[in-house]
This record gives sequence, structure tokens and C-alpha cells, in this order.
Amino acid sequence: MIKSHLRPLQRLAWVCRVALGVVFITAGVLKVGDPGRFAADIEAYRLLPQSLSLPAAYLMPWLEMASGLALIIGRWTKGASIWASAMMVAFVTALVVNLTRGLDIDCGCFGSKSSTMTEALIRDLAILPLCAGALYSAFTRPGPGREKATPGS
Amino acid sequence: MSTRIRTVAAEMTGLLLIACLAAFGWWLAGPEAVVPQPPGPVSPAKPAGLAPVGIDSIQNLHQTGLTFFDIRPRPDFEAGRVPGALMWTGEVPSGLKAAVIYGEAEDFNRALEIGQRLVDSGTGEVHVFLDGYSGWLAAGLPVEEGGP
Repeated sequence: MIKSHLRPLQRLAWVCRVALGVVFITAGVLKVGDPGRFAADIEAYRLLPQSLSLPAAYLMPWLEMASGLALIIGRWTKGASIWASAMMVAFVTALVVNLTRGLDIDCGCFGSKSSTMTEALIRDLAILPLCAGALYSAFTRPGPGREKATPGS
Repeated sequence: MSTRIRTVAAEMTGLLLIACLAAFGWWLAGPEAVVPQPPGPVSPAKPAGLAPVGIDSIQNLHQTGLTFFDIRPRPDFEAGRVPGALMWTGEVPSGLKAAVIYGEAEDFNRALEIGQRLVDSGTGEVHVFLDGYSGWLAAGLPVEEGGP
């Protein structure tokens, strides 16, 4: 849990980390129940080979949920924040690439028929600062109990 | 520094492994086993909805005899089309159970809109061919020419 002696910036970063965790768990839960539909959405982006659409549709929601849970409970936060940030960058890149192609279809970001790519891009750009906060929180957090202290680290 | 990198790598690998195991278990179980389905039919056959398809799937769909709709202008339609395809006239045929919509690759948005119209009208299964007629040609597949 957050400690009162943390600087305001660290507290803000903690909030960002937990909020990002909630976002990712929500996104994962909304997609995990219908992998077929999510695979079709992935295929519509035309950025992955068709053969990888279904495996990605199964894996991605669970990776989102695992990363989100790790961010919330404060375990493996470095790895989780990097995964979350990498996925967000990938999502934004995919949206930008397809918008420049002239496609503006259902993005499949939070389950079926949730929003267009333009709306999703705006939302994802708003989430990117949470990623920055989560990374800061994960890599600067105090906690001798979380990491083994090594000389000079 | 190397300790930190190892820590980060271990955490990322651990999360990926957990996700892979969970995804594999989910695939084995099938989402229907966990997400409860409503008992019995509560409405007429629920539409599967709109599904984009690429060149790998389109040949299979063509062989199953699905109705193909060509949304390109008539001159393009008559110059060459997917064998058996019908020209899209704007009217949703009654009793249509499944269909494939295609145009040129840049018509994708329009193809999606037309596909959604079919879904909303009760067509259970509608596929939209991502690569368009150009993709069909590029794959060296047979074509049909002339008037309908």
C-alpha cells in the first residue's frame, strides 16, 4: 500500500500504476470471452499474418489481465509496466497505421463494437501518461522487501 | 545494472508464461465453458456477425457456395469478377443466410457498411473480403466476365 512518506510524485505515479492496472484488467476481461470475434478484429487491422490472429486473440487478453493484476497488487511491477506500455504503444501504432490507410472500423479494444479507431486512438493517447506514471512508479519505488538489496544497485 | 535487467527480464518472462498457460487452458476449455450461455434459444438464430476474411479463407468460402456480392461499379463488375458473384444493387435479398462482400481493397469501409446492413437485416453470417478483387486477381484465382 502507499506510504505516507512518499513524495507527491511517487504517490501520483502509484495512482497511475493502479489505474493502468484497472484499465488493462477491464480490457482483458471484456475481450477474453469472445476470442473468435477478437481474432476477426485483429485480422481487420491487417498487421499480423492471418494464422496468428487467433493465437494472438487468446494470448493478448490474458497478458493484459496478468499485467493489470501485477500492477495493482504491486508484484512484478517492472515487467508488468513494460508489458503494458509496450502493448499501448503497439495499439497506438496499429491505430495510426490503419487510420492512415483510410480504415476507421470497430477497433475491438474493449470487446465488441465498442468504438471506432479514431475514438480508440484518442482514448489510448490519454492512457499513455498512465504508462509513464506506472513505469516511474515501478522503477523508482522504495521497498527493500520487494527487491533483494545488492551492493551498488 | 545487470541485476535490474535480469529482474525485469524475469518478471516479463514470468508474466508471459502465466498468460500463455492461461490462454492455453482457456483454449482447451473453450470460453463457452466459463462464460455462461443463456439456456435455450431466447431469440431467432443469433447472427454470428461481421467477419473480415483474407485471401486464405476466401477460397474456402467460395467453394462452400456462399453468395458473393460485388460492390464495385457495373463496368468493373462486367470486366471481371469472382465467379458466381452478384452485383450489389443496394437491396438486401430476403432469406439470405450467409454472404461475402467484396470490392476493391480501398472500398473496405463501404464493404463493412454494407455487410453491417446485411447483419442488421438478419443475415447470420457475413464476411468482408479484406483484399478485394485485386487480391483475388493477385492470387491467380479464376474470374468471370461479361454481364450477369
